[in-house]
Amino acid sequence: MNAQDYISSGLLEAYVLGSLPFSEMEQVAGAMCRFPEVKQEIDSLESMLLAAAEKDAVTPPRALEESIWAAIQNALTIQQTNTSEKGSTMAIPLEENFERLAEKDAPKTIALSGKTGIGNWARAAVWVALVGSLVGNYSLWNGRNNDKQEVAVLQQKMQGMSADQTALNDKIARYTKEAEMAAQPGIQPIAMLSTQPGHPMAATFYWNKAKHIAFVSVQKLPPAPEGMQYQLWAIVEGKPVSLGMMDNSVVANGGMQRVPDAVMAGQIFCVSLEKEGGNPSPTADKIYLMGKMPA
Amino acid sequence: MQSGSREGFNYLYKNYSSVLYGVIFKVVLDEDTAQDVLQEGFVKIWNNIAQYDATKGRIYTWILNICRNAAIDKLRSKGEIMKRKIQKGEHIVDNLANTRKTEQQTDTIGLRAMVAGLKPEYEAIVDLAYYKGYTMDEISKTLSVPLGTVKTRMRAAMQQLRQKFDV
Repeated sequence: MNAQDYISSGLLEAYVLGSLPFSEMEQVAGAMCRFPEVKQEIDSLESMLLAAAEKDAVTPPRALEESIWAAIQNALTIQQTNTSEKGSTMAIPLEENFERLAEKDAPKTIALSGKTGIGNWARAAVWVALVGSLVGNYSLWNGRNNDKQEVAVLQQKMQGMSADQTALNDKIARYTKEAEMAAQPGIQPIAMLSTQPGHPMAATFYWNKAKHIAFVSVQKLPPAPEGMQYQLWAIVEGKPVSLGMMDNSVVANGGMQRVPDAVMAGQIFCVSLEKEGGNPSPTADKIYLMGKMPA
Repeated sequence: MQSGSREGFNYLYKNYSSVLYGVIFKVVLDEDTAQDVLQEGFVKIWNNIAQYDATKGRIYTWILNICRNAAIDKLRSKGEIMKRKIQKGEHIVDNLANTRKTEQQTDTIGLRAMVAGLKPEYEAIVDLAYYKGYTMDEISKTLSVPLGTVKTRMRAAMQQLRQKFDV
């Protein structure tokens, strides 16, 4: 899928609404890294939801602020006592924290059943602590699962990013080569544009008139179907002259290639889709690109 | 804020509590439950804020999703879903009345009401996804429409909302 496919798929909407299954969530996260347009679309959808949430805002009761702060302090104390016992800090990973807590609970339970002399209150207190700890474990376990998901998403992102970078480097190399080509003395660039309304396609023809050499660089051209190939033509005094075939892989990757035949003359250059190996003359309704030699 | 001080909390609370409470309320449709969830949400945010990674997205979205998810979890754990389904026809009216009672400062109608202004088949989809936490698959089964249609309608609904919000 390309960026536009993602944008029109409905997946991005489902992503921001939080209703995608995990596998597709990863897919969208990957696409977000690969395509800036996708990221922009998601940002925009999220902004819309935030704007909507702001319009839905309701002030909570005044007393709630203090009780929430107390709950936070409470949660903090529990965390600190849980972790300080082993001399660790709060910065330890959740997974580790979870295992430490699990270890810690086991001896506690044995000690409880071993002693018979404790009063009911103490017993109750230990049970409360134990239940609290189990609840804590559960939420840590939950947190750990969330972390795992996040790690997976990040990994996916990283993969997408390194693929991006390779693609980007290739692109830069190509543009540099093309810019150098266009800057060479004696090179005439000719823009070849789509002749099919509604189908944006483009390529550039670089012609060194003096040396009869030319290159063609593909900006946008659909990959040739099975058994077909694009053919290059020069129109010399109204008559098409074949300049050879375009490499299908160059077309598919949007690259640049040397025009196979010598380009002696031409007022118009075009590209048509022909059977593999080419035709002696272009099929009229299959001429996709055309560019005129500037006067 | 990531330093974990009282000022940090005050900042967080002052800036986000009413938006978070609003969204939570839209999910659980009950004031007491909404207050519990807001508290849970804040504790969660507080405990995880050190792990928040700014490169992954906006903090605002992150915070909102923590609370929305907490609210949806609560709704599910209470087995409220079945009840809501039965009440489906009433809850929007009910909710608007409630909102008026609790809201002191809202002068505009928000997403829920906007959603209510959408075509009914669109409304149901955004509502189930955003406020009930249904996956697309679940939506498809609940409404007996194909998955592809769910995606198309979801997109159409969001586009319609986007135009209204002019984002």
